[in-house]
Amino acid sequence: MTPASDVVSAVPARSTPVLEVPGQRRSVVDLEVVIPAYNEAKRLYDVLNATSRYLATSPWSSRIVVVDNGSADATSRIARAGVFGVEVPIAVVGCATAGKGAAVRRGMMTSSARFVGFVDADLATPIEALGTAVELLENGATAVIGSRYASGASIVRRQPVGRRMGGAAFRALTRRMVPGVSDTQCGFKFFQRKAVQHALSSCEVTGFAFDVELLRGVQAGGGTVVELPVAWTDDERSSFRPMRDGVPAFRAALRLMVAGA
Amino acid sequence: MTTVDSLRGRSVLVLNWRDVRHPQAGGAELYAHQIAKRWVAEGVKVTWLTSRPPGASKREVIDGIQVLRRGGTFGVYAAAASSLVRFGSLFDAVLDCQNGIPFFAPLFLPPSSAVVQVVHHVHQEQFGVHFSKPMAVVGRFLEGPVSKRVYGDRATVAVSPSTRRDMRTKLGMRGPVFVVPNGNEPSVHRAGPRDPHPTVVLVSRLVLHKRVDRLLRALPDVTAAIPNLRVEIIGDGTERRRLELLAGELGLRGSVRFRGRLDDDARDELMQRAWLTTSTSQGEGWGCTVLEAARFGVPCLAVAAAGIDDSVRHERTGWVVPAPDALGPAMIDALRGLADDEVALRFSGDCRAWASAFTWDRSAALLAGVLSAEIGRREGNRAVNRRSARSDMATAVRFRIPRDVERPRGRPTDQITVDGEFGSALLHGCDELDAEAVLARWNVEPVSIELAGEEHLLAGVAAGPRPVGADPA
Repeated sequence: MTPASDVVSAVPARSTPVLEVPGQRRSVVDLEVVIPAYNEAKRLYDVLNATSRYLATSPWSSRIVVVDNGSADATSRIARAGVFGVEVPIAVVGCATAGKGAAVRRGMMTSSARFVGFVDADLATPIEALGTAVELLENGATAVIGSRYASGASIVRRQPVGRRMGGAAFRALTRRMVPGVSDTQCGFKFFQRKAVQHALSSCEVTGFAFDVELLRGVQAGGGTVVELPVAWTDDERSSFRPMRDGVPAFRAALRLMVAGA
Repeated sequence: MTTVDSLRGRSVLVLNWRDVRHPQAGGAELYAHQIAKRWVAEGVKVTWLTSRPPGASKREVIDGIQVLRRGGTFGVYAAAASSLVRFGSLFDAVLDCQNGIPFFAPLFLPPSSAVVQVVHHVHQEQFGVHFSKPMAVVGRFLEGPVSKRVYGDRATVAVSPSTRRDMRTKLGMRGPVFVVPNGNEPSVHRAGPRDPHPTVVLVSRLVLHKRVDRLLRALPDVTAAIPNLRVEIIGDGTERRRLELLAGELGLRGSVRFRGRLDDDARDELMQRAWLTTSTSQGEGWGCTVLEAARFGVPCLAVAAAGIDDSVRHERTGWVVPAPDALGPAMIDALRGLADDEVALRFSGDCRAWASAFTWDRSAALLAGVLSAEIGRREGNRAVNRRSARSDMATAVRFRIPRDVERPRGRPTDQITVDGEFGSALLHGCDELDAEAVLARWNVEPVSIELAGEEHLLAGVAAGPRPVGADPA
C-alpha cells in the first residue's frame, strides 16, 4: 500500500550493497559527482535534490557518490533513500579515514567514470556550473575548478570577516604553489578521471589543504587546470572551524611548499 | 552465533540505581538484569550494586546475581563511589548504567580498569521537565561535559542508533559507541483471527511525553473515514483523567476505551486481535512497546522521534510520519490498506521477523563482546586495538569459508555468525576497503560488503549466500 506522500522514510525499503561482486568497482558512466559528507543529515537532501534534478536533465549518463565519512547521524540513510521521482543513481560508500580530503579521494579513486569531481555538501557553487565544466573537460581540460576570485566570479553572500582574512592569507601562500590558479579552495572541482587518479595516488593530505596538493599533482602530471568563475554563496552551517581545520590546513600547505621547493 | 564465551570466568560489577525488584524498576533495569542473568548462566560472576528502597534487604541473590543495596536514590552514587575505591579493582570490568547521570566509575578506579557505560536515552532536554532550573543545569552538566571528560575514549554502549547519535551530537562523547539493542520475548502467531472491525491497540504509560493527546486529536477524522473503528488504550498514569475528558470532548466515547493497567495475559489477548498500534511519543531510547506489538505481527504507525524511528521499519513493519499532524491521514491510509487480508498478512510476517531479531541471548552476547574488548584493550592486548578513529562507521560483510580454512575468530565486537559454509560479520570502524582487507586476512571469500545501516546495527547481519533483500541478478 502507499501511505500519504508526506510520510518520511525511516529506512530505505532495501539497502543496495556497494560491492555486489567484491573487487568490482561501480559501473562506467560519463560523469560521477562525489559529495563528501560528515554528519550532513540536515542539508544533504537539498544538495542531492538539486544535483540529481540537474543531472537528470543532462545528456550524460551520471551517478552521485555520497562518501559517508563516519557520520553518527542519518547521513547515509538519507543518501540511500534518494530523491523521490528522480532516476539518477546514488551510491553510498564509506571512508573510515577522517577528513574531507580522505573522503573525496575515496570517492574519486573508486570511480570508473570518464569524468569525476566533487561538490561540497553545502552546494555553495550552483550546480548549473557543471554544464560548462563538462564542456571544458570534453575540450581537453584536465581539471575544471570553481573559482570565487577569477574575473567574472561573484560572491552572493560573503563569509565572516575572519574567514575572509584567513582565506586571503591562504591564497597568498598557495598562489606560488599552483601557478595560474587564484582559488584552490572552492568546493567544486571536476577532472579527467584517469589523470586525477594518477595525481591522487601520490597525495597524502587528508584535511582541507588537500585541494592544493591535488591541483599541484595534476599540474605536475602535465595537466591543465582551468578556472571557472562561479557565483558563490557562503553557508553559515559550514563544518569548517578556523582553529580546528584552518591551522592544520596552513601547516599542511607549508609542508607541501617546503617539500616542493 | 556470537556468544558470551569471551567473558567466561570474569567478574563484572553492575552499577544501576535500581535493581529488577525495585518498586519503580523499569526498562533499563530489565535490560541489565536480562543480560546479567545470562552472563551468570555462562559462568560470569556478576555483582549488582544498587540503591536500597525501604523494606528491601541489604543483600539478595536474584537469578544468580549477587545484589548489594546501599543508599537511597541519590545516596547510591556516593555509596558506589566509596565501594569502587575500596573494592573496584577486584572486578575485571564495571558496567556503568546511566539513567541521566552515570556513576562516573573511571574516577574511582585505576586507569587500567575496564568500564563500559550503558546509555538508554540522552536526558539533556528532560532534566528541565523533572527538576528545578538549577538542578536541571547541574544534571545537564553532569550528563554532558563531565561525562565526556570522565569517560574519554572508553567504549560505551547505546541501545539504539538514535541514542548513539544523541550521544555524539548532544553529549559530545568521543569514544567508540556500540549499539546493543533491547531483547524481546519470542514472536508468536496469533491465537485466533484478528478483530473483524478495524482495531487500534496502544500500550503506553499515560504521561506527558507519550503525547497520547495527539493521537486522540487525530481520531475524529479517522473515525469519520473508517466505520466501526475501535481504539483500545492500555495503561495508566498522571494524564489519564485529562485524556479521558479530551476523548469525551472530541466525541470519541463510542470508539475509544481506556482499559487502565491490565495483566500480561489480558494485554496480550487484546494486542493479538489488533490491526495496528501507534506511537506518538516524544522520544525513547528504544520503542519497546512497538516491538512487543510486532511480536504478535501488529504493525505500528508512529510519529518520528528518537528511538521510535529505529524500531519501525518504514513500509515494512509500519509507517513513520514526520509530525503529529500527519497522523490522521496516515492512519486512514494504513487501516484501509490493512483491510486487505493479503496486505495485513505481509505486514504481520515482516513484523514477526523483525521482532524475532531481538533476543536477550543476542543482547547478552553483544554486550559481553564490548566488555571483553575493553578488558583486552585495558590489559594492553594489541590484538584488540581499535581499527580507526571514525568508529561510528561499520561495514556489514557476508563471506564464504573455504573448506580448508578455520572459522574466523575476529574481534570480540565483530559479531561473527557462521551458518554452514557461509558467515557474516559487522566490522566496526571499517569502511568497505578496510573490510576487504579484513576478509582477505581471514582467508575467506567475500560474498557482499556494504556500509552498515541502522538495521544492521540493530538486528545484525544474516549469514547466507546472498545479501538479504538484494535484487536477484
